[in-house]
Amino acid sequence: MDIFSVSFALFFLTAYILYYTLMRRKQWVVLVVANLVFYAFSGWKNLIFILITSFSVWGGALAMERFALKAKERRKEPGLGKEEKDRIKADTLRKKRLVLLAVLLLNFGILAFFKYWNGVLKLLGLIFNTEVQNWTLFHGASALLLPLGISFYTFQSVGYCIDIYGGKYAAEKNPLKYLLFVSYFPALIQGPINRYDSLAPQFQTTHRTGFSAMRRSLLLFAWGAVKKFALANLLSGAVSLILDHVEPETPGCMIVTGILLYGIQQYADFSGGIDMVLALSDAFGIRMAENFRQPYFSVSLGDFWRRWHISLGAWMRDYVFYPFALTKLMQGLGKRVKKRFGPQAGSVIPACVANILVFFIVGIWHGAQWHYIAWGLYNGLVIAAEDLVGMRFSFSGNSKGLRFFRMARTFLIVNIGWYFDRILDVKCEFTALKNTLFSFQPSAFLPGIRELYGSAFNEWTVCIAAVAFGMLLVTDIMKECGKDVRTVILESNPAFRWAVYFLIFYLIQFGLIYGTATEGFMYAFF
Amino acid sequence: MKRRVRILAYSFIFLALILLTQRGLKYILMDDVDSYTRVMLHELYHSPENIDVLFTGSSHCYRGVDPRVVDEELGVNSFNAGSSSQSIDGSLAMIREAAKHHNLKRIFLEVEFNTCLEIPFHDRSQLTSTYILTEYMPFSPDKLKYMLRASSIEKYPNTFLPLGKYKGMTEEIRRIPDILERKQSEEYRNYGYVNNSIERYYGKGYVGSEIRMDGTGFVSGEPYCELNLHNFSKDWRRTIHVIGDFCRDRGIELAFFCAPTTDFQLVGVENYDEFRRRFRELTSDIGAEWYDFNLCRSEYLPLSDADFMDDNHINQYGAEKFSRLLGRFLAGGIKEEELFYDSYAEKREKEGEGIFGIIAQEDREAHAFSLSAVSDAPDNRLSYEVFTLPEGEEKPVRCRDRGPEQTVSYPEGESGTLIIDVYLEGKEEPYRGCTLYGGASQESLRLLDEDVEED
Repeated sequence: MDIFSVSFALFFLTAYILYYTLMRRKQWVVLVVANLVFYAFSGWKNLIFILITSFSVWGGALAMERFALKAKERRKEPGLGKEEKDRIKADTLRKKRLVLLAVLLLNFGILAFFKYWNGVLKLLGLIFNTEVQNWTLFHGASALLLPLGISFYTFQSVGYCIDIYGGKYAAEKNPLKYLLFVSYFPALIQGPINRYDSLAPQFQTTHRTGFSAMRRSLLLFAWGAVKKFALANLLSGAVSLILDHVEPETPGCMIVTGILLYGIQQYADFSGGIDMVLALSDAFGIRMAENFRQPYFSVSLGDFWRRWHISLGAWMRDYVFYPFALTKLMQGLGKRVKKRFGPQAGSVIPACVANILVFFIVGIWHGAQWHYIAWGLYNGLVIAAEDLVGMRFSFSGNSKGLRFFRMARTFLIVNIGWYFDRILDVKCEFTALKNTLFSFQPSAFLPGIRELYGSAFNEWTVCIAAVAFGMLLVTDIMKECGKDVRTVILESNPAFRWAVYFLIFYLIQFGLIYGTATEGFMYAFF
Repeated sequence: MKRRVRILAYSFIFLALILLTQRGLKYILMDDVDSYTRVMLHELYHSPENIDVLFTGSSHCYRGVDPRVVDEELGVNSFNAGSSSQSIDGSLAMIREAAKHHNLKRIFLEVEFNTCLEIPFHDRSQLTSTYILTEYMPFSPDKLKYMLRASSIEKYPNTFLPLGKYKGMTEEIRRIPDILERKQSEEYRNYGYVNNSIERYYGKGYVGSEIRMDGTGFVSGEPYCELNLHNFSKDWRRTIHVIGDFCRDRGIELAFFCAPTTDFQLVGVENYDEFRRRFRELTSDIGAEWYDFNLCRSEYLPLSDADFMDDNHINQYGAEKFSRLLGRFLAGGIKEEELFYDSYAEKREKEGEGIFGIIAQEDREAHAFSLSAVSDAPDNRLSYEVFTLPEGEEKPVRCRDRGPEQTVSYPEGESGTLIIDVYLEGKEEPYRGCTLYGGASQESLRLLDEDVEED
């Protein structure tokens, strides 16, 4: 079910009305049912996978908690010596580890199967120089499609399981309430990756609504739609035409144009979609995790990743980076480096290694394709290099000029990264980089744009996208200055407010009329 | 309470303003200065005389039946309410609209296999044929019913918002002043008859074209597909019965008819008689006659390539012949059994073998064409002779001698017009078809008035 469709609007309105009227005392039940209905619409057969994840993680977490409680009780028994207590502790830890491992294997196994099976078939095909789909064993296997939101709900569930393992909070006793957390439909479309301890308490509370809250949600949803339909979709044709077919003779100026447009398209698409789902969740009084914080105002690549897809970055930090950095191997490495190069290097170098690993995983998570791995490694290596350089040279001061310089530098680094992300063939990526540096050909810019006119854009799409981009820039600057844009609009004088409403309405409508992109949200496929 | 009233009032004003601005923008952006349907509907609603006989259906109807000619023969006032790709629910809407304004006595509903074998209404993705009618119909419960049933709810925003129906409505901003100027002209405001370079609106819903196909012949890049007779949708069946009931309740005589199409298409689809049989099965309980002019004996309706504007629409010369015959037939001047064969197979058998067109499938990488004639003669009695007329050249070049082989190559890197002569054993005159090769532009298609002389 497309979230910008009449059927979704009817589905949502039904849930919304029930949530605040008839079922006000059991709001969480409305959400569970709504989640299952929404999920069934995306392919009822996929329900099985989300149910497996929900119940395996719920059961596993509960088992781990029981082991811990039992161990606690046993250790309290009188007459136990220290040795015996340590043995119980070690025994419990082993059991918990086993359960955790089983849950992780099962859930990451399902995720890996869906995400990488097609890649495996392709690889086998290359190795054996044949169409492996024709083998009886793999018959029809290439038709695998990712179940909706599988990455997001798997990451949420695994995060919860690790938290229970670490005793961070109590496990959920009610399987349906846990299912609600895993299958919460606004988060299934393209994230964010929520944390149980932030979402679950909100599900237990009874929420009320009012005109002001409704207006705020509606404004955020509409703004997300502007970014998606009046900006991202209108740019996708030009981006495809330029970057899908990079040839040795493609001028660098056109490649740079394509990359810059792609940067805007991706940001508008992803953050627009996130705004829409945050608005839907807000309408139920549930605040989901923030996913974007004006990423193009970042002063370093590390800062960029703390502002772009925040929930993924935070998940990687808490469940991959820290656990990996705290392994005996990495701690040993830290000690050795510290001895040889000093205490600063002793903490920076293991962090560099962990960052490279994290971004390698982020690359793989995007897809089993070499260009994603290259993109992940590029980010990891640049962040590691930034940290290493930072050990020797650090810019002090907080002047506007320095900040602007850092922002420009980060913008450049991020955009180089987009070459690896967007150009699907690694060889073409290097051709594109080479042409950008050594065959820029500024005189080819206008003829190149003229060639795109008609097929990729027309006068309307340029005007609509320019207005939407202007609005995006202004809102991001305002947010960066600490202003709540929605409050500013909603508290402004009626004439200005209504002018904004009309502008938003017509940008969406004209974006839909003149847009050619028919695909959904870019991140819905991860 | 006061706050709620205020919120409601503001919401109402907001919606009203949206609708108002939509209307204004639609006037500025929607390019309908060349719309036949706009003029046709205006005439239908404002005709001073009562319309006795209504023809309705798809483009085959509005291009095939000239009511002025029919009236001469029939002595009544008839009107053609056909519109582009008019589907069965569109026909029902047009019949209802016409019946509201006129005392109809007879309705002739044109049936064509492409509109009969349509997907269910719910699955429609393109609704342009619906919108070109609803755009000019005044609001009524019937119109609302038509709009609601024409598609799934996903299309309702397009259906009900004035703006946004037509993708790429006005692609070029710089054309807006021209559109506005034309919309303010007397001609547009007074519903002047539309005349573009291809067709012309002649009044009473009839649109005629002077384009003739005798120069290029019928050549298609793809063969026709067999008609999928499972595609008579439930929606189609239900709607055709609603039309039957509507006419019966009002004492209007209903009949179905098929405007003539080319034998190129009828032979090409291969199962036209099966379509006819299935159509009759599904409509037998309506009790309406069906006159299929594709089964017409050629002595009554002698149509050649020169009477067609493309492979399935007759031009104004063909329409003149057909309308006159239709008028005479409806006036009782010709008996049904005299006029029609019983089946298309019988027609083909009785009228002798012929070549009706050519399927020329190009393989651009191999610089070659695969040829096959659409004919009711066996392949072993056909032979092909091919010439090329490269772009910029004056003289055709023989490309392949006459022979039974059905493939032909052309020089790499060359483009132009391919001239294909297909001979039927026992006949001297070949069937000539022309098509483009090597990626030549449409404008470079050149027709030859005289025979191609050998080098």
